[in-house]
Amino acid sequence: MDILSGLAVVFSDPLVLLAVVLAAFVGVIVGAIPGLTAAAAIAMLVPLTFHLPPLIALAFLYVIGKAGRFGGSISAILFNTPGTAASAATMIDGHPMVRRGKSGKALKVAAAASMFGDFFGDLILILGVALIANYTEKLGPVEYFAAYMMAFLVIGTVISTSVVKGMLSTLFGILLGTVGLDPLAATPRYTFDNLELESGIGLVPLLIGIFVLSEVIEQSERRNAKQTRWVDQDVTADKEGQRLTWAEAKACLPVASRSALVGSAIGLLPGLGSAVACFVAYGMEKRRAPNAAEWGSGTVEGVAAPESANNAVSGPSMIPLLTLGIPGSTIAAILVSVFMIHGITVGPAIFRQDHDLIYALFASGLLGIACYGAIGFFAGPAIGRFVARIPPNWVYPFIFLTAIAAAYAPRNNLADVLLMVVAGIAGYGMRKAGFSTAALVIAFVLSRGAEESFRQSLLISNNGMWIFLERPFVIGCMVVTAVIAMSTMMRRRRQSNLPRE
Amino acid sequence: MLGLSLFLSGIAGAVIAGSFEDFGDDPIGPRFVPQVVCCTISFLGLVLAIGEMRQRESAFPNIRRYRQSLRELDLRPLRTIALAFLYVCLIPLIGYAAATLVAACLVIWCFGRRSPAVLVTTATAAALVYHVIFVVLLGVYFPPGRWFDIAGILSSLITGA
Repeated sequence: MDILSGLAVVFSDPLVLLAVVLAAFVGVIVGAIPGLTAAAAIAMLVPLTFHLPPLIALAFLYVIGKAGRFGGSISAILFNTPGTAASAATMIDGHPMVRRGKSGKALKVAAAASMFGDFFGDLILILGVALIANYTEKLGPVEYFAAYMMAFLVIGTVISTSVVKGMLSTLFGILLGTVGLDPLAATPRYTFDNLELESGIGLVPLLIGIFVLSEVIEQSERRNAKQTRWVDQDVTADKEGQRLTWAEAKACLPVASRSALVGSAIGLLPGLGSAVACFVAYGMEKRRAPNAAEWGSGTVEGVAAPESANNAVSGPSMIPLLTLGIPGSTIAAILVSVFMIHGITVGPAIFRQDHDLIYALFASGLLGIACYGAIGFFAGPAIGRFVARIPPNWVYPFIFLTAIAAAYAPRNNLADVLLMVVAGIAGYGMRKAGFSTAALVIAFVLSRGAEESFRQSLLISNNGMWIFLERPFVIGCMVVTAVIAMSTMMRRRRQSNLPRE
Repeated sequence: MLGLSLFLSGIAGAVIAGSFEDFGDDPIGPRFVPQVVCCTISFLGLVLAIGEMRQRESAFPNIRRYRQSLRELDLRPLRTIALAFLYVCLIPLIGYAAATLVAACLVIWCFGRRSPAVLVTTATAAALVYHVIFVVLLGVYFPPGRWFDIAGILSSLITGA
């Protein structure tokens, strides 16, 4: 099997092994720090990986993404503050367990469930991606455009709390993607005779500005001189409730399995991501649980469900990226830039041209899961105590300085740094106004491909726009989009109609 | 205000897109997608503006409330933004190392540390560390500052040139 040769490649290269282990540590710690996300860390580290061989660069960043999703559960459980949006649902039962003296048990459940979900998702990725790539290789520009439109509409309606603001965020991203030379006619668009803008807006400076600098600006608003710790509570070791018993693990297994399935399905759809998966899985499992009344007061199943789901997103979110070139998550969108920098074109042809690299990357992912799982299971409380002691007023200044250098590094161009600063201001403004920065970034990455496929479709069409209604794949995409959009709007309407307490 | 700004920006974007030259052979050209996107932004901006107006107590903006919110405006984010622009301006003037030293001092001050000794020590260490990591180890090239360049002076002192 191809994955075995991938594992052989990984285990035969000590540098890849080192990169994976280091990435697992970095990801867990970054994810555990409130306010810092794995996406922000990856955006800052991308320029540093330019000079590394492609497998090491990709494996390092890919595993940080996986470990970061788990790392968020540490601060969600211990500090009642989600380290990442993906661990928001973990807080509901995780923190009450801490208050009842069961912090060790909660962290062990989170680690085990994350590992289970992530392995499940990666299994789907490894077994399914080549089959899907064989099919998508036969797709043409019409089908690609339908997939892009589905991604835009799903991202716009689901990812933000407001549909209008979500769609606006998506449209901003598409508009930013049109800056530069037109892909077919090479006409300058929105360049205002500026040579720097003719090559378009750089993805790396945009990412660093939107995710990193905007966070620093927001934190400068929140942090004050008196605040020397992340939280004003002590993370004390509890003597009881440290162990996870076999009976408890068995009880969590069916919950984790169903949640992993939910997470994998959500991961396949571009734009939805871990934050959606964790709440969907939590809600679903709570409704069917025999002890539903106890959920919310500290049940192990209430931690297992969201953790399994949010990590199960990771593997399948790579499927649309590798088979269609459509990133399924923010982290996948950032990985697109890494592939491009190393001269690798994402899409179905990647399995012919870079077959060994891809399976070695999958193998790195599997090893990374084992690493962060072991770190979380055995060292979770220690990491929590370490994070609690880091003075936040020192972290963000250094993130600020790193962001400036990281934005400059790719092209040794100060214009990129200026762009990063402007993107940071825009990202801060978007967060304040309730817009979605993730929707903007994903739409930006997809914009060029969507326009190219749209215009190529019209070039080959004998019927003008009717060509989009002649293909079954297109109809399928429209149905999926309509189902997702309707269910999201109905869910939001139900939530807004609930009586307020 | 936000909705109205978006409405007007969308229209402006669509008008600008109308000026793009069209030399291509495809049926829609380089203007179509930007114009469609801008018009949609304009439409959704209008929807947002109508929603904002419905939530307001009166049809007219409350000038007193705007003045009050301006007085209560938190300047700390503006400080950080200004510092970012200052850093970008300083790099070509005084070189990366010196600009990082100044920026490190100011950003650590922005985040609450006030002791001069701590500021200077930490900023100096930060400038050195970042210079070593990015310039020496990763080979990132920063041109020498137009006014002066600490890194260049230190290199010439070390090499004796």
